[in-house]
Amino acid sequence: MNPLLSVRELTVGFETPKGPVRVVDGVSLELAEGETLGLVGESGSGKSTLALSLGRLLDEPPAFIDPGSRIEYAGVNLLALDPERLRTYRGKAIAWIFQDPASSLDPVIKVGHQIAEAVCAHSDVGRKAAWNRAVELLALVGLNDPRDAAHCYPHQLSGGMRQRVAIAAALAGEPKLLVADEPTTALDVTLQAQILALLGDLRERLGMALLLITHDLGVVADIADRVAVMYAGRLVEEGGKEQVLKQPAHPYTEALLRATPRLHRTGPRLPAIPGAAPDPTSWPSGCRFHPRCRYAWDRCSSEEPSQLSGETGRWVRCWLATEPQRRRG
Amino acid sequence: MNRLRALLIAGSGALIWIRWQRIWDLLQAGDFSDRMAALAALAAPLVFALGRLPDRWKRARLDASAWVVLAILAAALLAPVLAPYDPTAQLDLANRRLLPPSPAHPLGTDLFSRDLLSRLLYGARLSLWIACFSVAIAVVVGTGVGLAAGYLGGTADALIMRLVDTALAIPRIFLLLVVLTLWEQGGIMTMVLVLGLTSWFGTSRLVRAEVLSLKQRDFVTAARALGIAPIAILLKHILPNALAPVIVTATLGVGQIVLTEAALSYLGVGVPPPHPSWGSMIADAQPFLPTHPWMAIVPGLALAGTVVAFSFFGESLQAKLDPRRR
Repeated sequence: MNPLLSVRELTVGFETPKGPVRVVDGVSLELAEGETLGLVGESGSGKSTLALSLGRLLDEPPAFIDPGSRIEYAGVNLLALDPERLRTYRGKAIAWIFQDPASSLDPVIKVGHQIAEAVCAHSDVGRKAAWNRAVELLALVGLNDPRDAAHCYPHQLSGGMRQRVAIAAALAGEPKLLVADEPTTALDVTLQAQILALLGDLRERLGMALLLITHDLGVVADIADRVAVMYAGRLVEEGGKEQVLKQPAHPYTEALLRATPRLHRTGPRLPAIPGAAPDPTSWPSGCRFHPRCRYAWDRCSSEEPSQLSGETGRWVRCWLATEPQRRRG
Repeated sequence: MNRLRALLIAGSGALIWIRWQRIWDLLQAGDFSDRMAALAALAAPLVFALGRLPDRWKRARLDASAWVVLAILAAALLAPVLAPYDPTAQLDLANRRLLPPSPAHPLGTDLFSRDLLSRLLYGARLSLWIACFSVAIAVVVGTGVGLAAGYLGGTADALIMRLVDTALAIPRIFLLLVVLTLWEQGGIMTMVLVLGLTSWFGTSRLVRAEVLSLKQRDFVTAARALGIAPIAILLKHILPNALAPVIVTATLGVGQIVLTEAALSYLGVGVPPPHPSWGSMIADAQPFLPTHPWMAIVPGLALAGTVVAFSFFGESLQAKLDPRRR
């Protein structure tokens, strides 16, 4: 079966006074219909740039997408479409949810109108019908009193309600793929669980694929089918959720997991990953993780490993895969 | 609030009682604006008695400057009802010239025996009418140009903004003098057009800056991600969010244009005689400054008061509309 979304060698960067900076560098990934892929990485690894570039939502210039890149949605290369055609895919084929619901809603428009506007953008319905649909969507995302909520301005709603509204607006075009860029980061912990449960539930009911971008491995463990790990603009590891979380192949994933706090486990301080995320203006030579890697040897700083495949859909970009005995040492 | 309401009802009722004959005459034989003024005077007590302010107005809490601005606007609107005489009528050239203030003429009369209070009230009407229309033109043109520049960006933006810079470099008063002198027969409408078309530059810069900053906001990205058309994003999301500073500059602009119009009328190229204008009233009073100082002082104070009131009102609007200062 053809994948719903297929990204090939996607390179996205920004023009700066000091020259182009590649923030996403040769990323390839696939997503089948109804599947949930968790994309994990720390701040500055290029996750959000990747998310926005899927719909060419970055301002170009200063952003640019390398002409060799391909983003195929159901077989159509989105990068080859003219702006007007591309717009018909935004919201209808792929929809986005952003990190901060407080700033991703227009402060001066009633939330019902914002959702109705999204409904109207993709179907030929009257104002009244669009408004009714907006109320339905608000009910679908679990707002009590959707009728009253539709008449509220964003500042009259709580953070969790705002994120639900943002999700309702994203669902207005009945997208096949929902890209959620850190949808729970700006919310407090109890709300995070609720919003994640909602996303999982909606995915089941509406049969959407979900690209969930997060820095939180706990979030991924909750609802992802597969996990891809991103570091310094590159994917470094990909596989099924169980495989990646139980047997991380890349030292970066391993370090991330070790640095994740767990309930019911007390012990010494959590081991942090030494050093800081590298600067995109000068990525390290060889493997980009080698300056922070506990296993690194001379080969790592001179040659970058390619995607070394194990079983199907499971690969890692690390020399350890060829010399597993070094992991113990 | 209730005491104020009672006061407003009583005041407007008293006005109808005192000026009943005048209102009746205006309704019978006035032109369109006279009839509107008469109707407004008649409707006022009813509106104050029955009308309930919307909740959001009640919460707005009008401050002193807002009340002064409202009073000036009311005086201008109701000038035909309030004014004791026709502002252009030469009442009695032989016996009633240059009279000092008296019960019959509260502010005295001028060289041509015209009642100064009537001229002052009608002058407010004309000045504010000119200012409001000019500002409306300036706001529409300035907002349109600013939106276009901010939205198009790149070369078009650079071109438009350099043209605006050039226009801003020309001293406005000279431009106005030249145009109005060349176009002498134009009348008041020309003046409105010229004033409006020379005062939108600042607004366009302001709107452009707002558009550029709003374009970077998350909710605009979110709207694009929902597949909403760029022009709809510009008009429905960016424009309403950019309006607050525009409203403030428009308010300040009214005061500015009242002043500019007075200056032009003082110099003799503004409102054509015999229409009353505060600027021309001051000019007319100039020779009599040593003997009849009130003739210049009263319109001068009215002018200064109006400009100050609009400035303070603009400031307080800015404080109210700017969420960062709430």
